[in-house]
Amino acid sequence: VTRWAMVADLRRCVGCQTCTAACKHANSTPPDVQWRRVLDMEVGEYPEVRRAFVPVGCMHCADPPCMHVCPSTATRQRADGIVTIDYDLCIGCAYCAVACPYQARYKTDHPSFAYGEAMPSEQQGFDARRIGVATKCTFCADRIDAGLAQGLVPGVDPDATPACVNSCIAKALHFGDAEDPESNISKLLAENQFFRMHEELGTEPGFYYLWDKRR
Amino acid sequence: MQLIKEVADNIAGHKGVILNARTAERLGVAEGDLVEIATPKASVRAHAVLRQGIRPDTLLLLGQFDHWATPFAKDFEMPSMNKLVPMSLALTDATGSGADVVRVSLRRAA
Repeated sequence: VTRWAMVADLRRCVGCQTCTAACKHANSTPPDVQWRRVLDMEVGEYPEVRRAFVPVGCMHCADPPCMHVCPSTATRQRADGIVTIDYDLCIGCAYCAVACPYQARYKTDHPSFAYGEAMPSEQQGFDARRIGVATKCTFCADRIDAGLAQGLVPGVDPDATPACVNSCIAKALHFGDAEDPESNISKLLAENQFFRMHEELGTEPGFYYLWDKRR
Repeated sequence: MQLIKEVADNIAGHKGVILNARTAERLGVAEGDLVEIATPKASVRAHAVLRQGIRPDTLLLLGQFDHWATPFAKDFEMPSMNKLVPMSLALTDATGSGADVVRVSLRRAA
């Protein structure tokens, strides 16, 4: 079986926000909707303080709380682990946005554009089905599917890889099949220490963070 | 420009002046408060961004160039450091870098 997952190397992320911008371009998300986001965090107090940039978004959990609370079955899970939203089924109740421990879901009730009127690029990317429903990171499922159909390998071939991963200037973001022991990300997870966000909640996120624990 | 501003705002400091959280507490300045940064010659106003990772005696202004006419950008309320720093060739090195450091006072704006 395939289990698509993302790996963010927190030792490499420089917080440049290129992934966020790339995601916004690739997915034509409206202002203030960021399916991929990078938090600028501080740990400790001056002078014993460290800064950490933490990429976040939908964790594509194996046991997704958003799916369990969805009353319309709009949120579902593919066999390859990607959590999906069927915009035609979604009734916009936003239970999922409340249930998600990762604040990964957005809901836009009205069309909104960068400068009021839609620019040509925004008109091109505008999808009326996204109004009044829940939206979130799709792991660029359309790119993965199109790439696989061409015999490409997601996470290795850029044409089959999520836009954020392609854009990363620091090789901090990686994508691949967590079930394949020979995959790029399986090797990263075998060779490095990692954690998943809010592991204690039992959501089993498909998003891993590489980070050296301090001795 | 909207997109760049939106993603830039994810990084601390793009919405105002960065100051040490403990210094801010001592001065009675809370996150987002409007403060006035002044030299004897000039002053700028900025919203306070409280952080741990900065010296207690130092302020950080990311903006240097100001926007007074550019549509959209002029409403960012991003404080400009150039308003405070004296333009002096004597303080400018061969690479063109100026002495982007100046002593200032800080107080909560009324």
